[in-house]
Amino acid sequence: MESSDLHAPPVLRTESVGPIPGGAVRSLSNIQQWMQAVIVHPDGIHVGAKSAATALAPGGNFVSEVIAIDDMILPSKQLTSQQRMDVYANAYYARLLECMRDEYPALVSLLGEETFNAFAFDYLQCYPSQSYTLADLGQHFPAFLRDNQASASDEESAADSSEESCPDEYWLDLMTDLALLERTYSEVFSGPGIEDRQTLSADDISSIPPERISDLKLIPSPCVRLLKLNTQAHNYAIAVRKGTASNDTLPQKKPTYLVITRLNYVVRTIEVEPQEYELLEHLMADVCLGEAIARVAEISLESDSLADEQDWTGRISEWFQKWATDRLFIGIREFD
Amino acid sequence: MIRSKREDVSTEPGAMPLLSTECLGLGVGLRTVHFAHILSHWPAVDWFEIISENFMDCGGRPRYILDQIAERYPIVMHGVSMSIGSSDPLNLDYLQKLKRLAVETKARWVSDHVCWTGVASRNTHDLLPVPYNAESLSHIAERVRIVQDILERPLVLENPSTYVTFRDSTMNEWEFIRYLTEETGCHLLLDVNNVYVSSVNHDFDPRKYLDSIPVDRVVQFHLAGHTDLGTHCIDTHDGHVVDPVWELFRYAFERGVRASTLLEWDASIPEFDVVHAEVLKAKDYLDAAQSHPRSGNEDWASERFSRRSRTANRSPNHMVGIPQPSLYATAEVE
Repeated sequence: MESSDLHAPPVLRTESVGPIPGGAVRSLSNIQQWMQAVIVHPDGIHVGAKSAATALAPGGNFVSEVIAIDDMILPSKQLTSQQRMDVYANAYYARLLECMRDEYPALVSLLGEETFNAFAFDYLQCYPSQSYTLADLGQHFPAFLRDNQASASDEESAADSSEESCPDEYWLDLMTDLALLERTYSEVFSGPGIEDRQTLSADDISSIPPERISDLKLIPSPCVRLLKLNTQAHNYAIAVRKGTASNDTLPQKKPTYLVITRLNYVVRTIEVEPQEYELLEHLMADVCLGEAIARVAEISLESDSLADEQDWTGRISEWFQKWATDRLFIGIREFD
Repeated sequence: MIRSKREDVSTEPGAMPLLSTECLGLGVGLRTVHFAHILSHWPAVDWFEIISENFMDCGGRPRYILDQIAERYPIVMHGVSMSIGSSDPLNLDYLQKLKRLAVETKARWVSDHVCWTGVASRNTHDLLPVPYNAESLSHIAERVRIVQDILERPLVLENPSTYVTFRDSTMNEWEFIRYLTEETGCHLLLDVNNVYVSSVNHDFDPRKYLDSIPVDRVVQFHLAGHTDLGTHCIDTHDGHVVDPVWELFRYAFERGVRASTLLEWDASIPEFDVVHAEVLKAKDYLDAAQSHPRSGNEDWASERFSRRSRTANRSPNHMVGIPQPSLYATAEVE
């Protein structure tokens, strides 16, 4: 098929470039449904072509019979129809797995590329991209791993109820912690920030009259996230990014409380005390300042017999200073 | 409806404004690995092209840097997710964000590809080919008109690299693209590397493709490297532009195409100066075309022949590189 006259008005031909089994030209929608089903199938294009009709027929709109790849795609001089479709099928997974590896480098380092790819491949079956941006591709990966962890633990428990805990519990915790942390890094890095905004200073907070504390709420910076982890995964994640990580010294299993934020467009990881974290959690949940302090103080003073109220007030004051330095809040508003 | 006569949108009552077709010169695709170099050296590059989707929702460092670059260089937006050829509805939210970014960066124009990226709400993030027939043409033409109305500017569409031929096609890609410009008044981003890659994959003479492209609709060239597997080529954007592609670029110029020229380098990206030097080679070809215009088939047969000497010795579908687009901005963490 060649273009015979460049200057002729468009006279559209209707004959196809190759004979179409069954005769009629298929609709654009049918062809696209078919092609997508074939190239994304986890078992390859041959199974994809066989399953396309089964998968799409119930909608009534789509292909209603199995269409062989040969019947849809012409061979070239060098490649069969199947080999040509394989270019797209290979590219689909290669591209998306590469993006997943780019977003989760510490998880790749921990698991090795092959194991990571296997998890990510399964993930893509459950959560195929529905967004125009690849930035959203990995957004459900932490939840996917957590859910898999839960079902794996259930199976383990059912298999051997005498075990107190799953032997791989540490690894599963570290894995899900890293996934959560790395996804949070991505979101904080790309999301709204405070680079061009005023944030609350220590003076702003200390100048609040005590009688007004119960009526005020702190407005958190839009880039602040709180993470409660089971391991010190952040040390490993940061070491991987610096190129200094070693799988011989994996992070300690320990309840870990993190504030993730962004300063000067770079994501920062700040480890905080449990009570400090709890107070931040209340404030981020829009609890009034006075009530948030009271809730945390009550529990802390009960659990720590050595602490007195004066110590407690001093610690809160230190936290406020620190939060001002880390620019965790952008303002104060009246309780409404 | 397929019209037999070209109607330039600029001549119709109430038509959208003409696209500024100023030639921006020789530009490079803006990539995150070059941010630091650009900010510290402000290199003498004529213009930058950005990947629209990398900045549309970004409130972080990439967007901050883009704003600084847009203050000093002309910016063109190039997208990979419009999915103009999909049978799914257009994503209006996406289009509104695209428009907003174009306004904010003072983008000279907005481009995407003659392709579809997914159906049934799914995005494969690939540039998938449509069957080239009347239904596709009518469908895409209607969507181009809608997009142009939303963006309030002509859309610029790029010819993709393709790897399959549908039995349902009734015309060549170059005919399809020519009709599309006539139907909609859209402009063209002529990727001569894609023409070359597709010519190998579909066994056609790339000059025939260029002969059919309406010269006056082309506002931009793309140049890039690809991977030649012997049996077919893959558009990997991971190396230097090969001689046959430069020759095609020269051929297009000799045919009268005058357009802003941009080099894409998306994998195994070298230092900025290497990328910039690559696009500057275009000057030599343009100068040669002006001082020594050629005619007929001279040189071409030997260029085609020489392709085989660069062919990688690999099995047909061994994955040696990912066809573009593959775009992800990695977070900077301390």
